[in-house]
Amino acid sequence: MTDQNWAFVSAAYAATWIMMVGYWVHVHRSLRRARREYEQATTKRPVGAR
Amino acid sequence: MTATAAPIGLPRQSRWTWFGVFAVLFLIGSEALAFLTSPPDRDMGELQKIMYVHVPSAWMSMLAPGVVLVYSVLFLMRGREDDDLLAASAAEVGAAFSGLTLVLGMIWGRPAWGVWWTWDARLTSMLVLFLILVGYLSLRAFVEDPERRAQWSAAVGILGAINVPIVYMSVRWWRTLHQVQSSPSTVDPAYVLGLRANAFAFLFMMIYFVRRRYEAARLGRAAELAAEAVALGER
Repeated sequence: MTDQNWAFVSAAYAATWIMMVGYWVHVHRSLRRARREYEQATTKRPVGAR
Repeated sequence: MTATAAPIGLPRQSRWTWFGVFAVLFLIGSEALAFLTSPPDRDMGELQKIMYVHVPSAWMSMLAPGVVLVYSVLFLMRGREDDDLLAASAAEVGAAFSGLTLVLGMIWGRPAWGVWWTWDARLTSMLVLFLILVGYLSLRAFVEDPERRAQWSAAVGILGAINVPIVYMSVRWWRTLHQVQSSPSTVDPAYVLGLRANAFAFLFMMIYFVRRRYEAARLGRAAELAAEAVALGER
């Protein structure tokens, strides 16, 4: 195994973690935004609504 | 389809937070285990360690369209909006994993084959799968009517899943540069534990991502319905 091949192994694991962490952040941002929108929408109720 | 102003039951969060923490710790542990227990391959040396992330990622890329297929069929049968949202969540996660699989394959292909990319049947069919999932998500972004969006997406989800067996069997049906499927039954026993552990780790991550994406989609839809109810009440 050459040092160059270690670079490929490192790049593969780095790509995996970039995807995992990146998608985690994306999902949690979507969740936060959706929660905010839901709270805004439910606090603004129509007249006469329960 | 339940496109009414009836409130969608909001999902419980706490146990899924803990499941996410568990999935990440399991992934870290599985990667450490694979690195520590697997000897270098006779031909590929330490390059073999890419298998522990590339193969599970490829499995999740094929599993996610299966979930899309199941929930698309369920949506067409039952007309429940939740089924459509679950299919869409799985499609997005599938796109992420298939993109990762392609990138990892290129990183492995350069030192192993001498090229970053070749139009071989496995690589091309995996690229087609990725593009189908991206197309599915684009379709959802462009169609505004929720009912039509759900029906069209279900059709694309079902048709797109046809590509999964083609991806899986491509290495047997055609002569490819890509080797036959790696699985616990085809790899050296020294690599089985690491491969199995990482496969479960990727599965847990996928379940967590799909669940969270689904939660966000349900909340987003509930917000839309509540906003519509407010708008109707103000008329």
